[in-house]
Amino acid sequence: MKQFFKKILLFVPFCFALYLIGIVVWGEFIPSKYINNLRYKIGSIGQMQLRLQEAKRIKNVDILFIGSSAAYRGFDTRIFKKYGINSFNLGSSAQTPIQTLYLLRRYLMEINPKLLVIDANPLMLSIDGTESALDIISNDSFNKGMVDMALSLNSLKVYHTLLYAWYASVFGEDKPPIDTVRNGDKYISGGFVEHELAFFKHINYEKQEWEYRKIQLRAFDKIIEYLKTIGVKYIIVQTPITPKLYASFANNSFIDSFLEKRGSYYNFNQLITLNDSLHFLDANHLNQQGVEIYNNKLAEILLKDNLF
Amino acid sequence: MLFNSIDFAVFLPIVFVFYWFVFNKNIKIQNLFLVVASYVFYGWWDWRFLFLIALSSFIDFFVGILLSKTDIERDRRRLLLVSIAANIGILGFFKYYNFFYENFATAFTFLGFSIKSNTLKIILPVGISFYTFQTMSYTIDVYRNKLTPTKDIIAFSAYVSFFPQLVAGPIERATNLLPQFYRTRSFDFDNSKEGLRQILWGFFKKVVIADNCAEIANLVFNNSADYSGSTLLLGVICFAFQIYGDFSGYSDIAIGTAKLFGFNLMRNFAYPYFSRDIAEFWRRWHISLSTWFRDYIYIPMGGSRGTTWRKIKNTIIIFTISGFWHGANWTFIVWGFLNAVYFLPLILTNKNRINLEIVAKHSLFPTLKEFFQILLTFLLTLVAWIFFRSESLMHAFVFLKGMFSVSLFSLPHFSGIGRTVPIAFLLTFMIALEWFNREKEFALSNFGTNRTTLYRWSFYSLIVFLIGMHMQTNETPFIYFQF
Repeated sequence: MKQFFKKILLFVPFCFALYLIGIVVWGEFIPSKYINNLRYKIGSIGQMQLRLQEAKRIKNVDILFIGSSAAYRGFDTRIFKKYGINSFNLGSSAQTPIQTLYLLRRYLMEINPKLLVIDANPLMLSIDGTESALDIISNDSFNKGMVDMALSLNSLKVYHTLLYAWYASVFGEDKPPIDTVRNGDKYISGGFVEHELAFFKHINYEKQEWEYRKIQLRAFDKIIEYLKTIGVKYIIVQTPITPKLYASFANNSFIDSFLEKRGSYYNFNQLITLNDSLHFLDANHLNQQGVEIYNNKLAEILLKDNLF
Repeated sequence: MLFNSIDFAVFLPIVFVFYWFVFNKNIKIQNLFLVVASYVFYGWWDWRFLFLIALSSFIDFFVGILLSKTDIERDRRRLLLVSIAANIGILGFFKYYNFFYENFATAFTFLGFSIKSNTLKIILPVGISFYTFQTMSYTIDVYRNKLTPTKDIIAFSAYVSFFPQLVAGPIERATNLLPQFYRTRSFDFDNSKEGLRQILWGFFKKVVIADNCAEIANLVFNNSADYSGSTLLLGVICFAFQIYGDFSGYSDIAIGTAKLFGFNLMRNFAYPYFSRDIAEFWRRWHISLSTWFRDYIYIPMGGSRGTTWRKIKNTIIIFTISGFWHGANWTFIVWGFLNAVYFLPLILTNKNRINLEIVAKHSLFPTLKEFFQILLTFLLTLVAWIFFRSESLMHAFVFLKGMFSVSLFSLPHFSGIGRTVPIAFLLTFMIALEWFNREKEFALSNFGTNRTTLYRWSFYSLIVFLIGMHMQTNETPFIYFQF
């Protein structure tokens, strides 16, 4: 029995060492489409690398926007500039509250906004956050916060990507710069991504409900707790989705009630009138015409209510 | 509890340590501990169904005792019937009630009678087909005087509920497993090492092969109308390896885990896809079930003795029952029947036992003839698997029609069905390793005994790495749990 345990105790570190080497070899030489559990992809959707590079330089803005793709495609910093509002958009693809918490802990103090606008997309409460974590791990510089985020997600894919990111940060070359224009998306300085003007062909939906994961609700509460601890002023908004899609959800009131209890809350699905076909590029994202209506309304509210 | 879960990764070492270090002084206490651990293992899924295992155990234990107290044949037969009725009754209710009800209702409706829907929402208890068959084998063996009935209820309960093989086999015989609960077990280093190797290989087959093949198989079967014949063929090939990896992988993990506790379970798979005919395939696929049916149904019915008609009848009955055992659906029945059709020419020409040895023994590669025999057998099983996997008979026939169409000779729709390249690589790796080790119990059995530790450990690490890189992020249950 002693020999059995001794062999196991020797094999485990041996195997772990080879495993680490394997991750490096895999990440370096195997095309990403053939890899299941390692996704180190610089750039990716949403131009996160450009946004994070800019975030490291930005300081003392009036407003910081944060949230999922609805945020980086929904808050055009140029429109707010017209109102004299200096802003930065820290949205990222499929960002769930777990990643929001990570990004705030890492960047909020440096950016030092007068007001934080949290885009609370209910869809993001239903997903596990793995894809967004991989996006952030691949595009941010390696730091301890990533480890905390990986632990809270507890996903093999995230652990592998994190280990590879660590290797890349120590031994790899600098991340190659990515294009500001990709697949019809144009990165605008300040974090906004403008898509070529497109129009959504509206469809009808079956009645459905927002689903949510307790881990994401808990993470959302941690965000609020964190903001209160450091004394940053914030509001919560819901960026509009197509009215037909919004109306198909039977439990919108649950989401409203959850968010209302956590701070000043503005649900723009109810505050502005938009058209499924004219103002959206797909069911979940505004096109540039929709963005203008939305942002103008938000800017008016911010100024009228003296929110910053 | 799933083998491929974090829960089991915690459960197994804890049970192992308590088993060998805390409860090792007394065999009865050690057996009792195994019963408790096994009940925890099963109850992790749904504790409410533990009473079924307990009930099945108690009935057969006491039937066994009563059988030992009487020599009157009529009484003995009645006792045997009690056991069979109880076990088949439990199985029938939980697994087949709705099937029979729906089919009776359909038949009556067809005849013009109106029947009110009376199906029940019954949860199928995991592993029910396995442990009921295992307990029945005990009573039948006692009835046949092949086994002395046990008076040790703890050992018997441990035999019925032994966690490594409780939910998906191998379906153990009391003559093999029960005596192992009477003997003092001592830790065997070599056997335990072999157990770990078997667990590792089982995980590879389940987590890497089965779960990844499932990705393609599910996509193709769920959207079969959208794909060409060649893509459908690719889908069914993936299903063939999915079910093999899933079930033989489970068996390997079960047998390997049992070895860690000093038990030897029966072999359940012996490289079935290297078979040269269907008879050989059925000697190598799900061996514990095939031999169960052979010993307790086929041979008592007369087996392959007697008239040609009797041979045909027995073969069709045994395969059809085997199909029905897998699930309460006509697709399984047709799957079983189709295998009987494959089998009949062999049994009628007395060629069902010509391929008893492992193929190309002591050779590196098969002869051309053997290769084509293997290929033909595999193709026959593929057609049968279509019925096994389809949602309904209609689905299976439409799938077959789509597959055997002109588009069978086109290129498969690789790009739309997932990660075919890595899966092809992994399948090749598994097939090669199994081929070159086909004379051993499993592919990694006594792996690299004449090689250095560094070589062996590096190879094991490679398998661990492939598991880590290719496992699905969610825990996928084993297919055979539903049976």
